[in-house]
Amino acid sequence: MRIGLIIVMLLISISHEILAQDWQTVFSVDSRIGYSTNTYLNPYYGEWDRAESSSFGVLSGIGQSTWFGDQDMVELTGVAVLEPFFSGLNTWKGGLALGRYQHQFSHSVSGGIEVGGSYFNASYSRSMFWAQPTITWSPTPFTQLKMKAGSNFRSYQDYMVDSVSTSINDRSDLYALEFETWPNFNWQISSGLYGNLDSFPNIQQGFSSFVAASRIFKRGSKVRFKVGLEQYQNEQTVTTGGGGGGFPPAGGGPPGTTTETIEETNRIFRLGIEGSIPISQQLTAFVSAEGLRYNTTATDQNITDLQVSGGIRLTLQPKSRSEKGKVTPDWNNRGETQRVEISYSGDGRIYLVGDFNNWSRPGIPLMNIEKNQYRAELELDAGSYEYKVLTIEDGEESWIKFSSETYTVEDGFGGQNALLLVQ
Amino acid sequence: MVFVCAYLGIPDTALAQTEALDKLVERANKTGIEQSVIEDLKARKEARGLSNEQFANMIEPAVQLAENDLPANHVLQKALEGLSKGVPDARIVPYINRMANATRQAAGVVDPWMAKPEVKRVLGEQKNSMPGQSMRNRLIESSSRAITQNIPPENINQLLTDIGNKSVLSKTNGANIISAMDIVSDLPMREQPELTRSFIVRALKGGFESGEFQKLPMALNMAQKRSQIPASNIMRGVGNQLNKGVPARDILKNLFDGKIGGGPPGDIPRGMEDNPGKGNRGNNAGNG
Repeated sequence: MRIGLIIVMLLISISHEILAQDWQTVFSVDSRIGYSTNTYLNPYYGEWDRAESSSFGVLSGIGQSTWFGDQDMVELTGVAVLEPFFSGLNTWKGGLALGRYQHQFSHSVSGGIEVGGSYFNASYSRSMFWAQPTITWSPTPFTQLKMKAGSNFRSYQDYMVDSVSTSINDRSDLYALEFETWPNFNWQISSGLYGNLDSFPNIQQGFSSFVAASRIFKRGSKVRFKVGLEQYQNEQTVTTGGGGGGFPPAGGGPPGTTTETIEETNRIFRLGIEGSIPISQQLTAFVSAEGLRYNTTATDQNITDLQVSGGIRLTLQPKSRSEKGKVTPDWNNRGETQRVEISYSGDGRIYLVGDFNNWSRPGIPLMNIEKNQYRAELELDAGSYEYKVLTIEDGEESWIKFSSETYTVEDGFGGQNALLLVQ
Repeated sequence: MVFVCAYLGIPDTALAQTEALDKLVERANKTGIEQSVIEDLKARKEARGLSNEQFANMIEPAVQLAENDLPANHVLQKALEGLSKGVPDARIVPYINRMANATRQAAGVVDPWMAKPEVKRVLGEQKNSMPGQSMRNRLIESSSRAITQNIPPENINQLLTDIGNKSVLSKTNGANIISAMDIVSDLPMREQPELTRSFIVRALKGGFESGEFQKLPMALNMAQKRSQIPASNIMRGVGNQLNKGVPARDILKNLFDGKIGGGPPGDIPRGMEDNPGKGNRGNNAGNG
């Protein structure tokens, strides 16, 4: 009882501590349609089923909250997914939850843990739970190596094996090595190696890997090319002659039979391209195409599968609580003039005061263009301008604080000014 | 004049201060300092009830800078700002002197750099290039901002040397270089000068403009808090997606792309039992 009370008090104090820092919440809805010949290539599915080629749709909603202080970060994510197939396959539906804690040990090293769980069902159900401690090393601002290792528990219910409904529970101890580097600000190279700790470092027994190159354009458009290789090996015991013998062979098998162990290697080569383009601050359009080629040494047979899809993503970022009462001036260059728009929900009139008006108060008035939305236009020469936003209510003047999204500089007198660079 | 003052009861010292201030204002006018700035300063001096001596202390450093052909407007603006914010003159004057010293130090770095033949040539060849004197003054102003924030002039010098490389100059222009210098004081230039230099050089090579540079310090700060590579944060910022952090779509990229199918990658996909081979075996329990 006493321990429980201590834990509750600790959680309350931690959450107060965290809320005293900064937090951000993001909601995102992803709507996609596509066609695939193997559900292994489908978003959120990841199960090998090439019984039917099918068109599919994906509707997924995401909510994510992040709290961060100077050295610690906690991130919670929830995802709901509905994936209907326009063929005989049942709709794949379910959800996923992720939690991540990260502590910054130094400029270049951080560590933490990622935990997650998911549940999906269609004709069968699948649930997973995993926990992976992580270590991240960034030797330069452009290079990062991330290492993770932990356990993943899977449980399948009503899963059909040889036409028999089966329940399966298993556990895998997994590792992940992820590398990311930016040769410049427009190119991102990333790679990953994932596998089973039991086989490490003898990775050829089973691994999944990829190398990807992304070209990022201004305004956020992106094209990504990816190649991947997965390989899984297993041993099969094959008995020939003697009229049978069953599996596994007992006591060396009946006389006249030959038992041999065959090592089978399955490989999956993957090749993909995807692109995304922001339509607005909230909307992004995306397309992707991916193919795989499966080969097994057992029969030396090749299988090719394909997935193409495209859709729209809506992202909403509600104003975080700690930012209320603060302003984020949004400047846009409009030919000869600079237009600034400010969202402000307080009372009174607001003004700009800064280098552009010799810091004269009350300053340049902002026009109220709609509810809580203010605007002004200034003709400015190229240069850098420090400024503040002043509010006057009932004759009382006060400076409005800037949000953490605003670029501010120290004013030399113990305060902060926003900085505007005009080119 | 002395007799007139004595007759009117004005002390000699006050008279001397008035004369000295008049001379100072005259010197300011000769150097080309904007009249409106001086007038605004005078008006604020009256409103604050400052003495002529206090006022002279405030503008003298800027006048000296201008007389030495150095930019002075940023120093005067700081005086105006301090008066507008109600900062005591005892705090304004030392900061202004510090800015003036930093401006001289910045000029000692910028002038030799701009005199380099390769810098002159490449910047001079560019279309819409800024006039040399204007660029020099703005570069001194932005460099002095960094020096005022305790960035050693040697670090600024090294950064300019890196930027002076033809491979960088050919992909940017004077205005972008000034924008880069404007944000230097908000990057970890003191603690990690080499990394910061590489950061800025890559940004210039990548064609970053003022809007992008403005987002660099915050992106770097956020990236460190979230254990991310700053470059990825910055590019989100460039795409107007930087809002204190990372959009969910990037965090969940693996999920959206179907790479992990609802769990971490590395496990063996179930369902391969019907393949020509017998498929895969899971770790501890097998797959089929």
